[in-house]
Amino acid sequence: MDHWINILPILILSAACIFIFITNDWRRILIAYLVIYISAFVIIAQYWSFTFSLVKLITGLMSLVVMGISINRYYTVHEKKVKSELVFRLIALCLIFILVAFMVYSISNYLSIALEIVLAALLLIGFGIFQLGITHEPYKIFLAILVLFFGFELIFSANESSLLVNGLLAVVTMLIALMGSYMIINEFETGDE
Amino acid sequence: MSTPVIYIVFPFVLSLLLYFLQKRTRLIIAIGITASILLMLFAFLQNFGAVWKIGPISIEIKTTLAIFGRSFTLGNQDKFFLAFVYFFAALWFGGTHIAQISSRFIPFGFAIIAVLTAALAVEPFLYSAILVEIAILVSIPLLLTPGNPPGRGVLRFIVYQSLAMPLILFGGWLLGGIQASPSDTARLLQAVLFLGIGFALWLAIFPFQSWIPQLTMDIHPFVSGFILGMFPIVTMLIMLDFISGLVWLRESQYLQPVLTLVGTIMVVSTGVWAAIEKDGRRLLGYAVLLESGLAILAVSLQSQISVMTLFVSFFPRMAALALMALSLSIFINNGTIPDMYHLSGMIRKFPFASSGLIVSLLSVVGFPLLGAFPVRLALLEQLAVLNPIIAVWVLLGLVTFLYSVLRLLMQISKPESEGWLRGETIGQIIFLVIGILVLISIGVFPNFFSGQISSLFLNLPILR
Repeated sequence: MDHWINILPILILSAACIFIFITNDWRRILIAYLVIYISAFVIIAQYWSFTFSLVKLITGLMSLVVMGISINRYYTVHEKKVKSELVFRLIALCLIFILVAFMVYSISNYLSIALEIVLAALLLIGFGIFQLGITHEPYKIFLAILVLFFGFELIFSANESSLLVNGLLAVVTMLIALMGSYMIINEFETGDE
Repeated sequence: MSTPVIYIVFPFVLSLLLYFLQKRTRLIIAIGITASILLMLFAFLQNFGAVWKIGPISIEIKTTLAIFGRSFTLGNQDKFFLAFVYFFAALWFGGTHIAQISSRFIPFGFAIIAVLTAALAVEPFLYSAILVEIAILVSIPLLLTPGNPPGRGVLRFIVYQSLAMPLILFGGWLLGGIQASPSDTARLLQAVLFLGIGFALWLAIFPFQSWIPQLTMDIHPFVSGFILGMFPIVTMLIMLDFISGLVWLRESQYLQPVLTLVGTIMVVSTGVWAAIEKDGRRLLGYAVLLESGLAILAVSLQSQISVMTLFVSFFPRMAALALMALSLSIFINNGTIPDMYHLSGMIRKFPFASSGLIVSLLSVVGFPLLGAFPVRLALLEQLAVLNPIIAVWVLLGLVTFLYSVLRLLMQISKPESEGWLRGETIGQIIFLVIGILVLISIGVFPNFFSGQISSLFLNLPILR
């Protein structure tokens, strides 16, 4: 790592990922996603231009706000997770994180991207894929896609600085949030097709 | 004026305008059909790049539009796609009222077609992935029914299709880096692996195909016909462009065996799954998978004739899909679940819809004298020359699918009630009869049909 202090945002990011898995309260989940975006921003702002990093952060936060408004209107009931489910989720996530820790150094060298960025990106991608694999709730799926794409963008945008690509990726992020919130609203709407 | 403005900007703007006219159903349908027919005729008759002279004014139909330093190009080589897509858009939009689905289908349909056209037109190839993802996201409102939670198939569709974007972007980026040092074979393989998995996700290639039958169960058959008709064909064309553009890839010794294996597995596994399937909606999904498997086999042959066969096969494929979707829609709209149990004896209550469903499924299998028969025969002949064992396996897949269709036919034609009724409306009967006649005419007069559209096949992608 270029700066050992970066271990701190990475630890916070990992903790936020674990927290998302153990809670079922949508408010706490959204706050944890917010923490993920801010932690990643702290890392990328050291390597990319501040404005470019800020664009990524603002796009992510805006998508969370769009999702949050819809979830706020419709989701109220929280189901409690059973202990065995929690244990399974934690063990699976830890295994993914261990796998990422083993791969990160070689991938960082291969792509010539800073270790901190690759580690954060792989943690998010691993978390996103696992979340997509185990959840059936639409809002969690859309949040997982958002975080998966954000993890991918951390790696991709480090090398591809084209304005059009990054602009289109921001459009995709916002569209995912919009469609996610549309799906939530649609579920609770009355009306005929 | 340029072709990207006509085929990307104009349909997109039109979709926005039509979205705000949703309550005026008849007007939307009329505009939708008229615009689609005009765009189809323009692609069919107009030479792109030519100059129009109206008195002192001359208008050049340019083929390129530059945005932020990137170009969108729609030349004469894209005429087939444009004419094909807008022909079927007109058919689908015309069927909106008949199938009794929401009029918002038309604006969203136009937006999806515009974005998919942009995905095919954009240079460099990298941007196609993002544009296809945008088209997928735009299609989401069509997949939802107000007041109902999204089905598992819808969620899987979104997840699987979305996962393809990062893989293709990353693979494309790796490939871009290799062009400076083409001897880096390790990186080349990694790039192809990422791109291969990305395309497999897009095209629902084995083992990423499970969401298709689930999706067709979850959404209205008319919408699933449109979505599963458009997306696999566009992504297939993007894949063909990609293979055609890379000499080392199309000359690679691994391309043909990999595509042949994947295509054969798809055809055989789809046939087996269809043989034990009891729901007509899921059969629609399996029909799409069977078509995709056969399309991959056509690509694997890597000859000019096989590419031609593939392009010609898109017409009976879409016609069969449209007929199948409409027939299933009629059953569902009349409160009949289109499964083996509920379809029993339905030929006496819905004779035209039942016939439409059976004829469309038989056409997909390649039953003699129906639409897909000439292209299936041509494909099997070419496969038999290349590898007879593969041809036998493919035939086995088709026969197992045929078994499923015959089982459905036996069930649907059971004499459960006395006397015949007519459950369809006149409009529905007209559409169904036209669909059946189109499939029969393509099958009976294949040379006449391919002769009519031969002018569109002048610039096909080269695979070897």
